This record gives sequence, C-alpha cells and structure tokens, in this order.
Amino acid sequence: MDMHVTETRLPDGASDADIQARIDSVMSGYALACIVETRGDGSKWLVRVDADSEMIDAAIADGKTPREKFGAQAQQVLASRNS
Amino acid sequence: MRRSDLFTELVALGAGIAGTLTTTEQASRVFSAVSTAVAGTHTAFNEKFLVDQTVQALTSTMRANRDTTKEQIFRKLNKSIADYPLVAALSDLELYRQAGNLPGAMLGISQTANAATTDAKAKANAAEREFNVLRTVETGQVALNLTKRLDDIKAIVREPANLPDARALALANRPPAINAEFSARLAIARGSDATFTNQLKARIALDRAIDALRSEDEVKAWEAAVRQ
Repeated sequence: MDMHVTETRLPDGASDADIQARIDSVMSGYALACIVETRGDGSKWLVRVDADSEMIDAAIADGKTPREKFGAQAQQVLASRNS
Repeated sequence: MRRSDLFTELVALGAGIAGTLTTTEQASRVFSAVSTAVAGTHTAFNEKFLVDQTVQALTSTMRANRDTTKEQIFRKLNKSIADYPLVAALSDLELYRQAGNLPGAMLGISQTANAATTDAKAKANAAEREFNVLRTVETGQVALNLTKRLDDIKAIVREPANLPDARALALANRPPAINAEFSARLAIARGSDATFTNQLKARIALDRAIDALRSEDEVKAWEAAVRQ
C-alpha cells in the first residue's frame, strides 16, 4: 500500500476565496487529505494525498471511504512535509 | 528642399534621357530609360531632402539654444552685481556664442535625442510591466476557469444520482479523452486489475485523474461524456 502525493501549482493571483474553493473541491472528493503550501518564491501549491489501488480495495472491503480509513495517516504524511 | 536645385537635377536627367531616345529603332530602350529617370529622380530627391532637413534641424536647434541661453541671461540681469558679477556675465556671453554654433547645435540635438530615448525607454518598460501584469491575471483566470470546469465534471462523476454506476465504470474503462498524466493516475487506482469492476473504485480513480486534464479538447470531451 502506498499513498500518492500530487502537487499542483495554484494560479498566480488566486484569491484566498479561490484557494479555499480548491481545498473544498478536493475534500468533497475522494482525496485522503490536502494542504496548500507557499514556496520561497511566493508561489502557492495544492498538495493532495491519494490512496493507491490496494488502499481503495481495503477501504471498500471495510465499507468505508479511503479517507475514513486512511485519512489520519495521510494527515501525518502532510505534517511530515513541513517538519 | 530647395525646389530650384531639384528642378536643375531633373532637367539634367531629362536631357540625358532625350539623348538616349534619338531614333525610333531605340524604342526597346524606352522602358529602361524611363526606369533610370524614375530611379534617378528618386535618389536626387531623397539626398537633397535629407540634406535640407538636416540643415533645417541644425539651424532650428541653434536658434533654440540661443533663445534658452538668452532667457537665462535676462533672468540674471535683475540680480545685484554681487550675485551676478562681470565674470559670470562674460561666461554667459560665451555660452550664448557657443549655443549658436554648429557643435553647440549638434550637442543640443544629441541631448534632445538622449532625453527622448530615456523617456521612450521608461514608457516602453512601463508598458511591458503593465502587459505582464495583465497577462499574469489573464493566465490565472484561464487556469481558474479550467479548474472550475474540472470540478464540475468531478462533481457529476462522484454522484451516483448524476452518473449511474454502469456509466461510471464505462468512463473509467473507456475514457473519452486522456493524456499521459491522466492514464498514470488512473493506473494507480486500478492497480493490477485489467479493468474497473467496482463503481466506487472507478469514481475514486476518475476523481483524481480528471484533475490531470489540460487541453480544451480533453475537457470538452469529458464535459460532453458526463452529461450524456
């Protein structure tokens, strides 16, 4: 089982409302967790963590969504990026 | 341009052409002679025009320089002897003399050109900065619009009421448009399975893969597919 991290650069000039809308959209889907990072050059990136095939199968077998089963682990993955 | 000079040159050219066309047998040379006349007239006009314009520009600059210096002198004449002594007055007179000569005029033209260059460069830089700001905003807006459209597609894909299970499986197994990143994301969710057989797994896979769509054609194909 392996979590997959995807980084997507947010458009320059995106407002706080635009960024919050992106987070809401991702979290209304099946992502395990997501966070917005600001790099040294001022660019903002949306980082999302997703489950692989085995994790999805395991969650479905338990009658849960991948986030319900692996969300806490995904949060730790994101937290370790900033530590 | 002095018209008399141009007229003289044209007459000379005309005489040359007349000499060329003394017999009817030489009719075949008419065209080339006329071409010579046109080209010669053009060259003569251009050269004299440029010389005249240069002389006129230098003369105007000399006059302008002298007027500027004259203005400065007259403004100082109201001052006391202590504030504007004879030495300073003589120096200004020398400046007035220099302002009216050829080197002074050329220097004046050069200074004017430099000032114009600086001004033009500042305006060009300001225009470039403004363009870049607008382009950044425009690019950002395009990206935000694309993201919004992808979010709409995903919202349909996630909701069984909007996209029946069979349709979700069909889209995951036979996507209407793909790219390399889309296929890679789909493959991570599919794992070693040949096809998607679980509708929830298919929706989860599409939820992430659709974010990888980039071109207008890809997005349009998906918009059409999920709304069928």
